[in-house]
Order: sequence, then structure tokens, then C-alpha cells
Amino acid sequence: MSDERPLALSADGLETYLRCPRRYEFARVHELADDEDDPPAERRLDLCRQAICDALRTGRTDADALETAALERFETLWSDRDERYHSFAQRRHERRVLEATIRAYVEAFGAEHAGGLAELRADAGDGELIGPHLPLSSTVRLPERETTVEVDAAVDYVVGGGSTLTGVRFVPTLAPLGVLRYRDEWEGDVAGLFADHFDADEETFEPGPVGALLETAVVLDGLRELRDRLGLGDRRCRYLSVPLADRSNTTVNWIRESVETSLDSVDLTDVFLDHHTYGMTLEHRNATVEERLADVVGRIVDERFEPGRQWEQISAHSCEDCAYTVCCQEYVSSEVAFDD
Amino acid sequence: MTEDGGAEDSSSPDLDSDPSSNPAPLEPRGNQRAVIDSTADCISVDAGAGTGKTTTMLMRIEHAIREEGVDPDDVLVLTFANEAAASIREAVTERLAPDAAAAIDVYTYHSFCYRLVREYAYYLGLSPEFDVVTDHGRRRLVRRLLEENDYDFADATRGDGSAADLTTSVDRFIQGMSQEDIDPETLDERLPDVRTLERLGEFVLWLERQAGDDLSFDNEALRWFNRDEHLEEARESLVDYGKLLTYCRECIAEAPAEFREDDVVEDVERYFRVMQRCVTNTREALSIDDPPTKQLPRALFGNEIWGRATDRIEQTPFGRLKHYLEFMRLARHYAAVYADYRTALETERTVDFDELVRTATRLLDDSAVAEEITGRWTQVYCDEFQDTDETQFSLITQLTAGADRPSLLAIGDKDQAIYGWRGTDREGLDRLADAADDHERIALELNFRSNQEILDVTNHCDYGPQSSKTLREVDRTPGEYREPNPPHRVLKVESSEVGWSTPEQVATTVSRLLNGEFENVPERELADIAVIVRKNSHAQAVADELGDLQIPYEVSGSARGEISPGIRTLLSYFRALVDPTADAHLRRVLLYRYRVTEGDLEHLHSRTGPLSDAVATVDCEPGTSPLSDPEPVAQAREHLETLRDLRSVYPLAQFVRRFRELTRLEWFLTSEERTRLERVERFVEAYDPDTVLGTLTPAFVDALEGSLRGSSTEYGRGSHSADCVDVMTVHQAKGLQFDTVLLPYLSDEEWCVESDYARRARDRLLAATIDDDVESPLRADLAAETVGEEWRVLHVALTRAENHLFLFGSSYDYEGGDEDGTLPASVAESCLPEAVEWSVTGERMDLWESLTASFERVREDYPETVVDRTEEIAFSRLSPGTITYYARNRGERTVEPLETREAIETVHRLGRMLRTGTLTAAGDAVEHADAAADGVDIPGGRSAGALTADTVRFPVETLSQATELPVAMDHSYSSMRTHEECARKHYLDHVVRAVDDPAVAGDGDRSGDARLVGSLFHAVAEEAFAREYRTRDRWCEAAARQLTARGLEDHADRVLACIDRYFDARAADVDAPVHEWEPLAAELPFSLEDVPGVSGDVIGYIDSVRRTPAGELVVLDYKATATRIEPEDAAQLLLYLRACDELFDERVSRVGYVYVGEAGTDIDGADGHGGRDADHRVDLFTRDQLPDWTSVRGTLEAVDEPSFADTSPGAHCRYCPHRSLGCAPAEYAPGRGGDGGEDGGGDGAIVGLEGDAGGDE
Repeated sequence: MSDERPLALSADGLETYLRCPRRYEFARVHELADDEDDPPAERRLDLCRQAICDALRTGRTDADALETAALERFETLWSDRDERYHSFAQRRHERRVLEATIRAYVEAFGAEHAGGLAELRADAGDGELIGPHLPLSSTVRLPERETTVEVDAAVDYVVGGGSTLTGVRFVPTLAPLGVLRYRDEWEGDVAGLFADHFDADEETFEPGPVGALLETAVVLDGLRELRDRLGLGDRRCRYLSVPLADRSNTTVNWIRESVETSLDSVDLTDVFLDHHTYGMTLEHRNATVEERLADVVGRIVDERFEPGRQWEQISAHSCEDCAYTVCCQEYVSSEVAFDD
Repeated sequence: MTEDGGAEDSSSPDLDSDPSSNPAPLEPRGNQRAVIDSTADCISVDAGAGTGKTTTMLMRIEHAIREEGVDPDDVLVLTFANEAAASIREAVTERLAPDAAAAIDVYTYHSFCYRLVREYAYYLGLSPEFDVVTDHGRRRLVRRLLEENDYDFADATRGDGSAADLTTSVDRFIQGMSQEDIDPETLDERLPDVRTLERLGEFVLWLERQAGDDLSFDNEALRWFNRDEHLEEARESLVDYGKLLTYCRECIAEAPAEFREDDVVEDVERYFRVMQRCVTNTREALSIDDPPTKQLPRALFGNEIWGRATDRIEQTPFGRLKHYLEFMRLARHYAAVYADYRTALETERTVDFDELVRTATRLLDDSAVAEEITGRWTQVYCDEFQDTDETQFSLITQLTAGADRPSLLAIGDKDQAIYGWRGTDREGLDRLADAADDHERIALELNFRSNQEILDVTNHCDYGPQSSKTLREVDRTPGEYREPNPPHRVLKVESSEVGWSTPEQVATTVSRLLNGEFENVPERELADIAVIVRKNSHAQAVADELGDLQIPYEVSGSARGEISPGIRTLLSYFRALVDPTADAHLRRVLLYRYRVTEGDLEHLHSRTGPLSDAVATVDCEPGTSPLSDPEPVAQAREHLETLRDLRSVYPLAQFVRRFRELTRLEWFLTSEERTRLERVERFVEAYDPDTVLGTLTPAFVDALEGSLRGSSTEYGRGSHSADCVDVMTVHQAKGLQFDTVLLPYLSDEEWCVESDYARRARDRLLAATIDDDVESPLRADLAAETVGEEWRVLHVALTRAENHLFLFGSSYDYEGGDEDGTLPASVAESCLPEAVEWSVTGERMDLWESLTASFERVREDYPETVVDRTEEIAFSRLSPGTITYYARNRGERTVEPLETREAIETVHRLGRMLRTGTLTAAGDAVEHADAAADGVDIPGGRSAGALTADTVRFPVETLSQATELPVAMDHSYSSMRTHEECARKHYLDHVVRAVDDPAVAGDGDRSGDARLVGSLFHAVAEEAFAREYRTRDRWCEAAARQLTARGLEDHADRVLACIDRYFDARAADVDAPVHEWEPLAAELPFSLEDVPGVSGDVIGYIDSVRRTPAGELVVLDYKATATRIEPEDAAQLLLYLRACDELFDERVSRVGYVYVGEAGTDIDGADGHGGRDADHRVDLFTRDQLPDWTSVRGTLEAVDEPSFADTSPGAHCRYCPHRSLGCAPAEYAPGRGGDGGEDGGGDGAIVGLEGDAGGDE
């Protein structure tokens, strides 16, 4: 990375760095194109994301009205979109799946979140509360270097609810969260997994969940910053992930040409929250994760992209789906290693 | 060494003959005589494994030609694979007169049909140049059809409905149907219409939803299930579910007759009744005293069979229904594409492989031409008949039908029919009886391959629903041993009772066999051993473990579909040419072809825009360029520009040729990869894109990559390596035999346990719908045939072994064992009504139980040779099983073989000492008797190791630590030295492992010679130490041996000259010549761990450790090169010192070099070598004279980065094997006077001398 380029760190990138520092270098520093296009799931997600955010922006709080607004908006977006399918039937089907997703969203969260938005807006003045990709940023202090670095993250909108401020993020699926989906506290499994991931002597390699925890730290800090900036009092911040491209709950009735689906969600706040830190700060924080965040950010700032001792884990887990193995010095070295 | 080729048979005990001499007439044994003498029109021979199938067939052919006067022209032999055709052709040639052999027609089915169809092309309305659509072509055609037509269906099972996924799915469907000989019309006729299937699908949705709501753990009664009311509620929910089933049946009853009376609907209706019965059974099975029963409702009716609690269940009543109906709906839609595919073939006047066979069969059925064709032969022979599929069977019966057509000998082994998944018909041999009037059936059971113990394991094994032949070892009385104290023949290991993984068990066994450490199994060689597994993933796991233990192995086929690094670079280069945004690929090309330094790459990356723009625009003028070395980038730019121009001008094949000429990429490939290049060329020539003029396109690059990765070895047979342990799947091993066979992973878990059987058996469900013999596809057990096939696969595996068979396996616990809350398969099974013929376990073999029972039975008959060795394996890890065993040339040497075993043992001992920290100072070794009395291990004499540099260079940490090898980097001092000399050379030698430049004929390749002479001298010195040779004569003897063994006698003079110099060598301040100094160790391996800043260990070998007459401990390095090394440059020696400090208690006084190279004679003292006495060939330095440790570390750290910095041209360029890269300045070209050297007069003089010596260019 050359000096003239501004330092742009994102929470997404941290996860890439956890998967493999070298991959981070290729993707984020050198910005090498990888072979993969956006997977279809991502593109579909964007359509739904946009439609839902636009519907929330209308300010309607009634579920039916919200659904109508979202579906209308979706219709426009869909007709502007050009994606090849092998048949019109397939295209119709894909559209029905997305519409079902939007309906499922409204059913599960719509009215509650629209209400929470309205409540917040009353306090927030002109501040922007709805994205898509509402930018947040967290200032990470790097004590050893006596400097700070901004790490960006985004949620799709924020809602209030009594004494809380919740950032909602649409994701394709919850699969990358791994075990975090099934746990509701930090102490125990999660803390162990987090520590083991960074221990090169342990076999544990969980960049997905660990990255999600780092991201949670960034998002919650970003939300606190937003809260203070908009003067929203002392609400506690929470972070919710909603999957919009997960088809495991989808059923198709070909006779009635209907599609139904339902949405799960994961609130990462509880699994992130460490009660000791909470006791000290009365904020939803986790000192362990935040320290580690600073450490990882520091490494990126220092351009430390050698996989080092973690290479064994990385090569076992990350190389398989990495588009950069083809030009990665570590990977090729391992292919032509002396004692192959 | 194939069972079907002649080679095996000629070495069989009964058919013994020297293949090099004229073959003696074969003497038939057992039923072979009956086969030869039979006069039936149609003979089917069911010949067991190792009974000499091909030999018998050959004997009959020979007999017919010699005794019955059959004209060889009238004989036709048909086989499956090209390999088989080739080996029969070879065997025929060996046994018959050349013209007779040449007259016999030997074809594969496909080549036979191709020739027939081509011959009659005009008659058939085809062009004689008609194309055969390959698998690849079929896929392309399917994709085109999907793109061009609107098929009006949606595919929801594939996730995102993307075109590529759908193409794959339809393509696979068409392939499957075609193999089963099911045409689109049949599908159209036999499957219900879409509407009917969709209506049935609605029932599935209702049931699924209700099960999801009420029978899953969303229902709290089932989730908690610990109180009586929970039981009641759960039962209620089941009753409600039963009511829904009733409702579904009512819906069918009330539907219009057209719907109601459809076969499939009727079957579904009956199935609903069965499911109701199942609901009732489940209701009764629920019990709060038996908590796992709470899993039943969600498993059986929600098909929730993932996760620990229900993973013993592989098939459920609801899952069966759901997958059946879903796949039929898709098949209904896919059939339309299938029909269009057939039409497209017709209109384009092409055929696919299956159609080719069908077309040929039609010719044989066509009275106008059939006689003309069948009249060409009087005898037809078919090998491996159990592998014929439906279409091939029709072809053969047509060809030989009736008395006026040729007679048929069909030979095969029903017990080895393992290609059912490709549509072959194992019963073919039996069905011939119905097809022919004059038919005779003969079985061959006399086995020439394996010991009876091994045969009995397979004879006594319970093969589930089928019978198998009983094999007998030739000339062996049952129950008796061939020799006194016979070795173990069949060895069993209970894998689950050993505390480590199956691959570790296998690797340890192999290691012990190679060492001769296995109790009562004689020492085996690499070529003796094969590991045969069920799946590719097993092969890879075993291979990885063998690799970790440094045991040479070869995995047949490319189990991972990986592309080797050099070929990957080639693909990347193509990719970069066709796609200017393919930055990652361009980076690889820059890094590995052009050797652009990492710093410069960083700079290129930091420029805006894609990397290709940066390469095109960066300033490469020396002086002004921002790059530290602009030249490689300039070269890359030039090549890229040229190639992009050529790309649009030249057709593909010519382009590739120009590409190779320009980039000289071959020099960066290993020899193996160079042969792969030929495959690339063949692919290029055969590639037939839809465009008229084939140029390099993205589609071509995709296709090439696919082909290189691909499954081109579908019928792939493994190979028997001479110097490796072979690892292969059973399918690859078919037709091969090995002295010792290890069969790991013998467990249902690895053979037949699937997560969702009904989903995986969708094709079978569909086929059952069309099959009139199956009354109800929903209730029928479709697994019987596949389970039967799994047993036959096992039979093939067991019969590969000649002398020793190792079985590793474990029971799979269908009952869930001790795991709390797991639903036992038997509990779920008990809920199925009687009408259901299938099992909740899908396919089930109880493989290990059956095999163990057979094993026990054989052990009763042969208690001395059939043993359980679980304990030996379980405890064997206590001694190191991790060795390097490269004995490549063993057996081929004309001289006395060196005692590898002893060397290995010594290395073991040294390893143990390293590990336990008991390695004492080498100096003590002199008085080893005393030390040994104290119980301390010390290195005594050593036997010489194996011969080549490869054989002695293995990382010592395999011995000293149990952890895995560092994969990425190890640093040997030689790599470090190279790095110091020239980073580029280091990169090529040690990171990329580039091959050397091709030797130019006539120039004698001086540089390579110098290195070769050096390594020969080292080898001699090592052997001399080991054998305690002290005299010049003995050394010369050793040299002669080494030279002969490697076929390098030409180098004798130079090596002997080195030895002379060594015996003359002395140090300035020691009177005695160096060869009189007491040798303490040679080629001593060391490993420096945890060098700060360096990842991986630094490894190396110390040439010699000696004690001078004055008692000093010294470390010496032999130098066969020309240049003297100044102490301040002797980082290598410092490394040795450091290593010795770790290895020995006694401190090393001095370190130094012994110059044995030819240039050393001319070194004189007047050149500023610090006044050292140049008459002496030994330079000794004290610690103080050596460079600072930090400088060594600097070098190591530099090596540690697998980058390469600049080239540093200099005198070493003369000897560089990579001169073709063009980095050496002209003045260092071989053959030129060395006056341009910048290293001072001394080096200049040396270069000059070398120049004179090599100046014959």
C-alpha cells in the first residue's frame, strides 16, 4: 500500500483478514479482481434490501401499508433489472421467491421496526436513520502506536425501542455466524472459540464467527457514536442480523404458483456482551473482543500480511475457496515445497 | 502386472514360461480345458478373480487357429477400454505368428461401432466425417438448448436457478437416461403430466407444513417430552397428522377419474395409507421412558435426519415421497430438453456414444447389410462381459445371433461387476443363455494369484443378497500350509480400538512393513504394497499421511482434480491474455515466469487501474524507472503485447507453439509437467469450438482448465508403480494385483452410509417408475442392487492381494451407541409397516461384521497365518515409524547393494537421541565403548545411506518431533548459499524448482558437471566414512561403485581427481594431512529451530566432523567449487558452529573448508587472500574470524521470503543452470576468458582456467 492512499478499513475486511492476511492484501490493498462475480444471492439481497429500506422511508407503520410499499418498490426495481434465466417461468419463480421474502420480513419485523423508527425519528431530528448501507464508524485506538484508526461498518437501518437503539443489517444467510447462531452468551463456548482462533497452537479456525464478533464491536461502537451525534440519550445499542437470501425455509406450491418462506434472525448483542466489561462500563461492550480488534487493526495498518504461524490453519481452511491462490506466494511455495 | 494381460499369466505358477523366450504352449488347468474345447455357438464363461480370464481366451483363440484352422482374419475381439484392447493386442502378438496376430481384429465397443457406422455412413444418411458428441459436447449442446428455448419451467431445487447449475443438472439427467436406454418418448408416455405431479406436490406441502408445525421441536411437548401430558399432546399431534393424511386421500378420491386413476396417483394414495399405519406405529412407540423416541415424529414425517440425534436414519417415509415427486416433476420438464437434444443430434447428423452403439446395432438388424457385416468373422470374443450395458448387450447378441452368424465366447466375472452405476448389467452373462439356442455355461474357479487364506476370506464372506463363486488356490491342499513357519497372510486391525486415525494406522503399517518390523511378515519393498480404498477422499487422506512420513507414494488418477503449479502458470498466462482484468493471473505470471521482485510488484499494484495497465504503462527505462529492476517487467510487457497481437492472428495450435517459443515457459516446468504440455497440445488440436477459426478465447481457456482438472480417467485404471506405494480406489485397482494389499476404511460408515438416501437415489426412483416389474416405487427396496454392487466392490478389493492382506475396519453402530439421545435405527425401523420394503438405513451392509465373521472362520482353518494385529499397530507408535525410505534403484544395481537398512536404523537411533536429548558430543564417539557402558546412546559407525542427493536429504525433524512438517519453507544451507549467490537462482532452484536449461549438445554442460562431480564426491566421502575407508585406494573403490551405480562412469576422472586432492589436502598449521584426522561424523544432519524471524526450521548436513591430531574438534565442509571463501563470507560455517553447539557438549574449536575442486590447484598466495598459505587446501577459521550471527540471520530472513530480489550477476553465472533466462552478462558466458570478473584477480584466474578448459564451443 502506498502512502498517498487513504487508509480505509472496513469491518468486512477484518473478516477477510482473519481468513487470510494475504487474501486481504490482494483483495483490499492491491484490489486484484477475483474470478467470482457477485454470487446471485448477493444480487438478490440488494433488491430486497433496497425495497425494504425504501418502504421504511415512507414512514408507514401499518404492516399492510408497509408491505404494499415494499412490493411496489420491488416491482420497479425488478423490472429494471436484467438477469438471464433459462425460462420466463424461472424468472417468474425467482421473483415470487423475493416477494415472499419481503412479505416474510414484514410479517416478522415490519410493523415493529417501522414503529421503532418512528419513535426514533421523533428524537433524532434530521439525522439519517435508514440506508441501505447506513454508514457507521468506530474509532479504534492503537495505544502502542499512539494513534487511532477509523473502521467502517454499515447497517441498513436503525430502530428505537424503549431504552435501546438497534442496528439492523440484512445479510444473505446466517451460515457464516456458525455457532453464534445457537448461543446467547459470551461466557463459555464463544469466549473459548474466540481465544482459540487466535492461538496458533490450537486447531480452531473460525474466521466467520470471530469476524462477526469483531464486526459487532465496530457496529455497536458506531451505533453509540450515532446515538450521541443525534442526541438519542443513553439508549443501549444492539445489533441484529436478518437473512434475506436463505432458501431453506422456502416452500413452493406449483399448483397455486405461490411461494412461502419465513425469516430467522440473530441478535449478536447478547453473545457479544461480556458481563465483566458490562459491569465496568454499563455499555454493551466486550473488552476481549475490542482489544483483539485493536490488535488486528494494528496489524493491517502495519501491513503485516504474512500468514505466519497460522498458515497451517489458513491453508487447511481458506485456500480452498480463495480466488487468489493462483498468485499467492505462500500457496505456490507450499505447492512446490522442498519435501513435497 | 495386470490380471488380464499376458504378463501375469506367463508368470503364473502353472503357466510358467520366460516371456523373453518363445512362449511354450499354454497348459490349460481346471475348467480352462472345457472352455477351449467347447463347440457351443455361444459360451459364457464366468471366471473368478485371478483365474486367468484373458489367458483362457487367448488359449482358445490359439487353439482355434492352430488346431481348427480358423483364419485369424475371421476372429474379432471386443473389449471395454483402450487399455484392455492394447494389452490383448500385445498378448496376441506375443503368442501368435506376427501376420496371424495382425490379422485378428481387436476393438473396443466404441471403436468397433465407430468403424461400422463410418463404413455405412452414406447408407445411414450420415456424412462419413460425422462427429461423435463427447461428454463435453453434450454439455455444450444442452447449454445451447437451454439458452435458445423457453422451456417454461422453474427449477427450485438448485438454489438460485442459475443457468450453469441447471445445465449440469439436465446434462446429468440426459446422460443417466441415455445409459439406461430410456428415451424421451418413454418418459413422455410413462410419467404423469406436470399438472398431476404438481397436484400431488401440494399434498407434500401440506404434510410438510403440518409436520414442521406440530411434529418438530417447535412443539414444546416433543421438545421437553418429560411429563405424561407431553406424551398425550405428542400423540394428539400424530393423530392430527393422520387426519391430514386421510384428508389427502379424500382429495384424491374426489378428484376427476383422469387424475385418480393415474398409476402414480394410485401408488401415492396407497402410500398415504401406509404412512397412516406408520403414524399409528409411531404413536405406540412414543414413550417418555425412552426419550430418543421423541425424535421419531420429526424424523419420520419431517425428514429431519441431519444432526447427531437422528443421523443414524438415512431414509424416511416422508422423505421418500417428497424426493420421488419432486424429481419426477423435474424429470417431466427435463424430458423436453432431452427430446430436443436427440432431435438436435439427428438434424446435425451427429451421434453420441450411446447412439453410436445403437446405430451399429440397427445395422446388424438390417437385412440389407447385416449379412455382409456378420460374414466377416466366424468367432467373436468379448472380454469383461459383466461390464456390458443394455445397448452393448443388444449389439453383441445381434452380431452373433443365429447359426449363420459368428460364434461367441463371452468371458467375465459376475462377482466383479462394479459398474452398475454406469448402467452395466451384471446378469448379461446369464442372459446370454436365453439369447442363444446352443449355449454352454462354464465357471473358472482355480486361482493362480492369491493364497488360499486370502481367497477364503472372500469365499466365506456373506455377500448379502447374492451368491459368489468359490475360489481355490492352485496346487494347494485346503487346510495345509505350503511351508513350515508360514508368514502371516491375512491380518486384521480393529481401527476403532487404535487410538489414532485410520490413515495413521495405514502409514505406520506401511512403514513397519518396509522396515521389516512387522511381526512375522517379511520385509516388503515399496513396489509390493498397495493401499486400496473405496473413495477418492480416503486415497487422499492416506496419501497425505504417507507424505508426512516421507514414504514415496503414488495416487492413481488425480484425486483432487488439482493442476500442478507449472501448468497452473500456463493457464494463468492464457487467462491474462484473454482477460485484461485477470489481475491475479497476471500477478502469477509476473511472479513466476518473469520473476518480478515483490517490491516491484507492490509498486505495480499501487498504481491506479488494473495490473495489466500498470505493466503496460510503467516507466521501464533504467535510470528513470521507479522499479528497482525494470527489465523483467519490460520483458513481460513485450511478451504480452506480442502475444496479444498473435492471438488474433494465429489459429490456436500455431498460437500455442509461438507462445511456447516466446515465453520459454517449459523451462519453468518439471519434467512431469512437460509431459502434461503434450496433453495441452493434444487438447488444442482436438478443440473444436463453434467458431470457424479457433483462436485463444476465454471459452477455450475454460475448456482447457476443465480438461486438465477433469475426469478424463472415467474408466481409469490405476497403475502398478515400481518404486512407490500405490494408493488407489477399488475401481482403479480392478485388473491389478499386488503382493501386499492394505484395505482401510472397511466400515458401513465409509461404504454405504448416506445422509439422505432417497434424495441420492432419485434416479433409481425414477427408473423404478418406468420399470414394469416394480409394483410400487414408493414402497420398493431399490437398494438391493446397489448394496450387491458394494459387496462386489469389496470382492474386487479382497482379491487384489497375492501374499498378504491387511484389513482395517470398524463396525458402524446403527443404534447410536452410547451417544445420549440418539435415535437408534431399529426403533425407527420398527415403526415402518410391513408393506414398506425399504429400510430406514437406506443401504446397509454390516460390512465389518460380515468380514470379521469370515475372518474368524478362516482363522479356524489357518490359525498360524490368519491373525488379529490390532495390538501391534496400537503400540507400534512407541517406536518411530516415520522414516524416509527411498530405495529406488535397489535390485537394479550391478554392484553390491548398500545397506540401506542399517543406515535407516542408525538414523532412527540418531533421531531418538535428538529427541531424548541424549546425543553426546561427537568426540565421545571415539570412546564409545565407555559411553555405551553408561547407557548413553552415541553415534557410532554409520552405514552409507542410499545414493542420490534426494535420498539423503530428508528433514530430520520427522524423527525428532511428532508434529507435522512445516509445509511452507525449510531452509537448507544450500538454499541459503544459493540465495547469497544469486536470489534469482535461489528462487528457481529452491522455490520454483525450475528445471535446468537443456544441455546443448556437444558443450559438455560444464556447469552441471561441476555440480554433479561435487555431489558425487560428497557421496563417496559419506560412504567412505560409513565403511571406515581410510586409504586412497578404498576411496577410489567407493567412487567406482558410486559412478557405476549411477551410470556416470564418464565423470570418473574428475571425481578421482577430487579424491587425489582430498588426500593431498592439509591445513596451514596442522602437520598431518586432513585425511588422517580422526573422522567422527559425516553428512551429519542438523536442524536449528526457532531462528528468530525465520518461519520453519533451518536444516542442513555437516560434511565432516573430525578431531585433529592435536585434539581439536573441527567441522569441515568439502568444496568442489573453484572459489575460495573469505572467513567474513563464511556464514554457512557459522551456521554449522551454531548447530554443533546444540548437538554436542564439546565445543568445536575451528571450522573450515576443504577445497577439492580442480581450480584449487592454481590458487596462489599472491592474490590478497589475507596471506593464507595457498598451498594448503584446508582453510580453518576460528569463531572470531567468522561473520556476526546477525548477518547470517539477515540472509536467512531474506531466504525466508519466498520472493526473489534482483539477480546479482557475477562469476557464479558461469555455472548457473538457468542461463537461458538471460540475466547473466555476456562476459560470464561459458567459453569466454574471465578477464571481466569483478571479484579480483584470484577469481579472474579461475574463470580463465575454466574458460580454457571449456573453450571448445
